[in-house]
Amino acid sequence: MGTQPIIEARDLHKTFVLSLHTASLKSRLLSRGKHTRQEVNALQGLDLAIQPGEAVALVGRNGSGKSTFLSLVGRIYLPSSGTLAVRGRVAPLLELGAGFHPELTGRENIELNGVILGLTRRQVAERADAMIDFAELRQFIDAPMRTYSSGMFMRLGFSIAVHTDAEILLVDEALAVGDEEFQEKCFARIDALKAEGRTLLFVSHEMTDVLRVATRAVWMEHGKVRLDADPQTVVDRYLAHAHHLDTP
Amino acid sequence: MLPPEYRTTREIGSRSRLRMEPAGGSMGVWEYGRARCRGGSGIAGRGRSAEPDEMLNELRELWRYRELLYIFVRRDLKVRYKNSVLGFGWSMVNPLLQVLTITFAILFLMPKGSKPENYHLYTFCATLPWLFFSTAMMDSAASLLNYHQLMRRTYFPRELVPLATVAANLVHFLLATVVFLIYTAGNAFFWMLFGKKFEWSLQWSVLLIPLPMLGLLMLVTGAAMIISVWALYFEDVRFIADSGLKIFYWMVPVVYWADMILMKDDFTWNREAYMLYMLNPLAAFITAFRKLSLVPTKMLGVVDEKGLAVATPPMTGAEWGFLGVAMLTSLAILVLGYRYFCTRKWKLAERA
Repeated sequence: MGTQPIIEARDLHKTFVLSLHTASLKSRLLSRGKHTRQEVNALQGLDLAIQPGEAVALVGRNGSGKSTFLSLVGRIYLPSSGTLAVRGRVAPLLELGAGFHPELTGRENIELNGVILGLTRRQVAERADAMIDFAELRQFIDAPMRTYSSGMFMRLGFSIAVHTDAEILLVDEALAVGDEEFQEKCFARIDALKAEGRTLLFVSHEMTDVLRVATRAVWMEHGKVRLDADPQTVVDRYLAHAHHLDTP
Repeated sequence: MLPPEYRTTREIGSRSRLRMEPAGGSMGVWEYGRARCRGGSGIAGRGRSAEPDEMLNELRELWRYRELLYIFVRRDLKVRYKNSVLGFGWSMVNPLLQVLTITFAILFLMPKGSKPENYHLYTFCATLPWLFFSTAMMDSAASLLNYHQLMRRTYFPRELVPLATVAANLVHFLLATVVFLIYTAGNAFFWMLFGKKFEWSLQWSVLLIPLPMLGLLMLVTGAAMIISVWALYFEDVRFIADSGLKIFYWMVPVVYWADMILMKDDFTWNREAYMLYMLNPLAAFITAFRKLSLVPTKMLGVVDEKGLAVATPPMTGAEWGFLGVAMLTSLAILVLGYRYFCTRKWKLAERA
């Protein structure tokens, strides 16, 4: 594929329609003809091309469209208009461990999540040990996940995601999980993945994480790119802007 | 705070189309095409269904995710049977108790000459396809809500959700059918103990029951595709389905025989009523399921002028015809249901 971007968005729009009513037939019938809906333009003409091997951080205020863009890349939604090309497999870590079922054991959940993230069952079986060791959960792995702490949940979720073959990793605010020591391990693993040439696209409000991991940062505002540059420049400008907002 | 609810099914004027990249399209390469407007009314996908080549692509995508389907089904069954000593056994206790209760009531209440022999076998037999249908409907109505968290975070073909629900119920149905066969054999041996001559209630045509089962599977899958989407948008659907099923129960031959409509002699339109009744695919499937597996029912102590026991007729040509019609109807429901689902599937995750 040469220099073709691995993720390429052109004039990307995404509009959500918020309904102010609950999901019942009664309210639907009663509200007929009245304006109870509200449109939210989460993305308003986003242009962004990401090359293979880049680690791109998305920064910006809540509601600027960062997570929506991640969801579009992860094929959760269809764009309202515009084009989006994604040329690789995607492992979404939008919320770690989202697919876990509390009644199943850790091991059973590994298979479930691994296959959702694009591995075959055979591949999951081969990598299960590595995943369990990385998450440091060997002694609990055959217990139902309802007995796990939230930290254990996240560790296992992270471990599964970083052991997949996906060319693109999407991370929404959970770049590193667990205690200090485990976070170090997460960062080391992310560095290793970057070295392998995987592409990383993540959303973070933690500027130290942005500076530490990203090779490029994109500041999003109102569903568009406001600034696209090296992490240091973007973080400086973004923080200056945020500070300015605090002291009018 | 909970995120506000997204409602986007009918409101967005344009609809984007997913296009798989041709030639060398390795897994995970995709491109969203330029949005294409459907109709001037701004109603997304309503009343129109996907084109045939799109349908083929959907099916190909589904095939690639077959392992996930397997895992969803296994997860469903594991969670259902877990945490109980008897597991699968418990799920058979309820229908069996129900059948035995009805049998007791019918045999006690019915006057002499109207007591069918081995009534419990016929009712148990008809209960199985009915339970498959009704449980699959109720489960699929809840299915997209159950998988909603997962759908909001990861991609997989959304139809896996109703499909897995139907498949888990199918596994249950097949296991229950085995229990029924064992039960029937056990019944024969039981009466032998009381000095009756051994009478095997099964007949060879039981080998043909995969036919009505296949039809039923098509019907259930198609209906599940539709009801799962509706139930995601309107919580009422589950309650309506629940009440509807209770009425529907009496519109299919579970506790009685469809032949009884024909046999009614104080009613002029019984042939027409029977035809109308049998156009309901579920009625045709249950009738076929029962008549193919069990011998014609005899009325206890009733004989005709030739001295033969009066019995319900076996599977007739007309009933084979109704089975054929029901298969075609179910195929149509399956295709329409899947098309409907495909027009909606990209909106499912947006309903928060």
